Amino acid sequence: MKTLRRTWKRLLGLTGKPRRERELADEIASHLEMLIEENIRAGMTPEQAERAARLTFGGIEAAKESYRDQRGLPFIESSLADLRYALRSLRKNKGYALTALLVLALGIGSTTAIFSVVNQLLLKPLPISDPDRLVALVQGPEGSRNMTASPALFAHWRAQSSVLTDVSAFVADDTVMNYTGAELVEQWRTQRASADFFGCVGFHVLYGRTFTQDEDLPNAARVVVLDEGLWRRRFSSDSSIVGKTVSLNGTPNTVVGVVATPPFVREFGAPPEVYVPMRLDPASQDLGSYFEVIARVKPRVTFAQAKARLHASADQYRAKYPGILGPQDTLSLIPVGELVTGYLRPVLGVLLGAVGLVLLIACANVANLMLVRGASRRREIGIRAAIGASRSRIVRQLFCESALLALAGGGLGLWLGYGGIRALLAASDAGFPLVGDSGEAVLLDWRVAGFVLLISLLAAVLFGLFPALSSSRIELNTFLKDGGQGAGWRKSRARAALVVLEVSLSVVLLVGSALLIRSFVALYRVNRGFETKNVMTMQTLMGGPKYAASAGLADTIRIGLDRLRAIPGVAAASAGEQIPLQGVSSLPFDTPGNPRPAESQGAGWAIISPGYFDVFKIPVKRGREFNDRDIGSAPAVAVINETMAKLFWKGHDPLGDRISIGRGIMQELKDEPVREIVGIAGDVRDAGLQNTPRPVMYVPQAQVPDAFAANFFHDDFMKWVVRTRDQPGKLAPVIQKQLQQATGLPVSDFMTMDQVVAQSLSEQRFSLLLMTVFGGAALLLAAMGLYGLMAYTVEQRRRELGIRLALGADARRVRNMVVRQGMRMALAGVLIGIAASFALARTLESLLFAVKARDPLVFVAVPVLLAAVAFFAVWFPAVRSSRVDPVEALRYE
Amino acid sequence: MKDKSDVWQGTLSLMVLKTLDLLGPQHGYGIARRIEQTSGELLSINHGTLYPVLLKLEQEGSIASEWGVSDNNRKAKFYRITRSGKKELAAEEREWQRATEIIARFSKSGDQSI
Repeated sequence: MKTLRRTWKRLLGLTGKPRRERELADEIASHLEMLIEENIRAGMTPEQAERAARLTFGGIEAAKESYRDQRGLPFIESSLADLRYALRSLRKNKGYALTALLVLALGIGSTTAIFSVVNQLLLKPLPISDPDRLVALVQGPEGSRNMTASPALFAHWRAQSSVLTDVSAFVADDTVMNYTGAELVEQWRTQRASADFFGCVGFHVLYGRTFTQDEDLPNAARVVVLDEGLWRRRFSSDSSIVGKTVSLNGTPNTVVGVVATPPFVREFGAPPEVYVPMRLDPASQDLGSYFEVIARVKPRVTFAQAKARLHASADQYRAKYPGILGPQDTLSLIPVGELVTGYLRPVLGVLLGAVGLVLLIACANVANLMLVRGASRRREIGIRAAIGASRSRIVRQLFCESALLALAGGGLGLWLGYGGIRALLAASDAGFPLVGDSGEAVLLDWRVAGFVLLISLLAAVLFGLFPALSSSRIELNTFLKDGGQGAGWRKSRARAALVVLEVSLSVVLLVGSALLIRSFVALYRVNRGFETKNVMTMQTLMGGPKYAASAGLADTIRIGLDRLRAIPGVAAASAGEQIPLQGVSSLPFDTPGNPRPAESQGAGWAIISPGYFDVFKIPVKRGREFNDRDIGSAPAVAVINETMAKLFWKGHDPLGDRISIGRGIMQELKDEPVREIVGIAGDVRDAGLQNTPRPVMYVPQAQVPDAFAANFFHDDFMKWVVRTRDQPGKLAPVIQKQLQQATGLPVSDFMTMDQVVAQSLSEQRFSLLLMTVFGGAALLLAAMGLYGLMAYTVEQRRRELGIRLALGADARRVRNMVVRQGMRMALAGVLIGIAASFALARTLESLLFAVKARDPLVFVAVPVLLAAVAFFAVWFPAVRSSRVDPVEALRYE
Repeated sequence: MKDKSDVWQGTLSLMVLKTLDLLGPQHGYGIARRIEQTSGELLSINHGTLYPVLLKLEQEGSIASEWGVSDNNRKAKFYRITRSGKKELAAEEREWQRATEIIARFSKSGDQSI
């Protein structure tokens, strides 16, 4: 109690210092005067009296000092003094402080930037209620992320009600519907979703309700739910819209409700404006996969239990639908968060590791600066020690300076990193999830702030403590004798070690970025199998009854293509349901009279129009491609690619063989004819440049069964592709106008094929860009460290070099000696760095394409680059060393 | 250094408390003089060392202070003992009593054994 009270009083004692000082002085003065009066009464002269009084009182300043120690808390007071002193000393050495500050801000800033993304994507829970229970249902081998499901599989999943609830289907692909209620036809982004979808994700219903189970059945009356944004824009927030009908694609739909779409749903595509029911038949046995399924794990059921249940159910499913699940395949679930951001974990891990290295290098650099400064402060420190400062007191004071620097660097770094990453995300087209359109969702929160504080302090310990300990180690005797000259050998060894560390860390980073660069180049150089030069794409929405049959669609396409081909400068034109790198679909197939291998899981399925191979310059190796005579009434044909021929015909000639696609898989394909293989096309990397070509079957659009066209093409985009003789940019307006006139449909989403390729690599480019920036920063910092150390050493050895030169040493040999000394450090760093990279490169493996983690070229090029940069960093100090003027150097002493 | 001054502070604060208890409110000069007189001039203290002790006692709440005017019309700070100070004093006195008794016994037994 007593101590507590006293501590409190002492804390108070830290305040109102001037008043307290005045009172103390007054009190002592009055005490002295009383003593003097007494002495005068005893008969002394005033001078004698004063002297005697002072003797009786004792040391006034000593009394005050010990009074002050009692009054406040000396530790805090001296820390404040340290702080003031550190500020003053940094202000006096602006160059040093600024350099250290910038280096630290760079290190802490880049770490903050990456961390804030990691925080947003991997650490924060998804912005939905109870996100851990929201799962995506997947099929395929263990670890598969294949979310696609068929009506049959959906029914199977809904039956797993012991572990799952709110099992809901939705179509992840972007589609639109034409709103025909206004004067101008308007496109509304559309989301198909089953009745439970809204409850499963956790939509906020503003007005009305979402779909009932009955409205979600085939042939139910058509209903829609509007998104809040569309409702505000299109219907001026009029709540009476609920219950009215809107005309979509020419059909009336009743609006049953208005909902606020959670931001999370946008991760599956552009935010929908209108929701329509899936209208799946619960009894359907269709096996065509064209939608995705999410669900919630039931309360009180663990994730593992649910997973085990689904695994077990795979056998029932396999028994009911033989041949659909492969022997390795199973049914499983993954947390939606994992699906949305989990795939970025390796990239972010590597980037975070990389910035960690940058930060380490920055710390080593600043530590070196501090050591150099510590050496020049020997005199000051020595004097402090001589007048009685303990070593811990000196360390504390030096460390205070580091901490101040680190915190200032951290503040600056926070600002830099936070602003930088937002700018970078805004500029990047990598389309990271959960960060918003231009990174605006990456926010500063307590995690980021705490992280910055933590790494700043950690940095202060890393770069500040060791130099502080080392600088404070002063032998008073030696110091006083030689007047504080000469730097300890031990310290220059420490500095050399730091430089070696910097060089080796930057080797590791550069190896990482070089590997990414190599694999990026390889990705660009890989034989894609299709030509992108002067090819552009655009799309039209084929909505309305006219396009519900393949023939009608084919007519429009032919009219459009004829018009396109007539444009001067157009070399080739075609259309397709999908184009390379923009989504793929696949179907199982059969080869009647030619048993297909058991392991086949189907092949890619591409619906194209005549001229497609010509536009992309995909070679037709054998047979022929499609032409205008391959219409519905003509014999059914297909073209397969080389991989498919190799995989399933194994040396036999597939030409002329028959193939049956998707038979018995779904209702819509029951009229799919048996096709004759009329051609073999070259392989195309259409499912991502990093993926090896898969087997693909091409079929002519005009021969697709009407039922399929009605259900899937209808309300979907048709992609048009055009190859021009020259730069396509100039022709784009003409092409758009002609196509619009010919088809009577709005033409949108112009893109050159080069842009499509670039977009498909945007994520790789983003990580490559960051890694290169980090690698460059590391190189710069290491070069700075090396240069700084060599320049300092030369400065320290001025006298020695001067004597050597005076005694007739060859200037060139002096220079070479310095170069050798510097390069020895650099090479040691390079060697250590190579060894470390060799061990660490494997962590990059999952990000690499066509480059081995221990790529010999990289492991030669990076050391050479580093050695070259190191040579530059060493050369200038070395040249200066050989130009030391002996007379001046000796006089300087 | 530290330990010695702690002991010194301990005894000195006991003397300060006792003085204030006996004489009522006093200024620093008065307390110092009184301690010197009571100790029969055996103990001559540097008056300056008194002030840290006074501060500590005040922080602990054993004494309180206020500015006043001395007998010869001089502005001075007067200290007085508080209620908790009196309790503190009683406890300290008992402690000292016991300590001196023990020390005394030791000295006696030492005399006999030699």
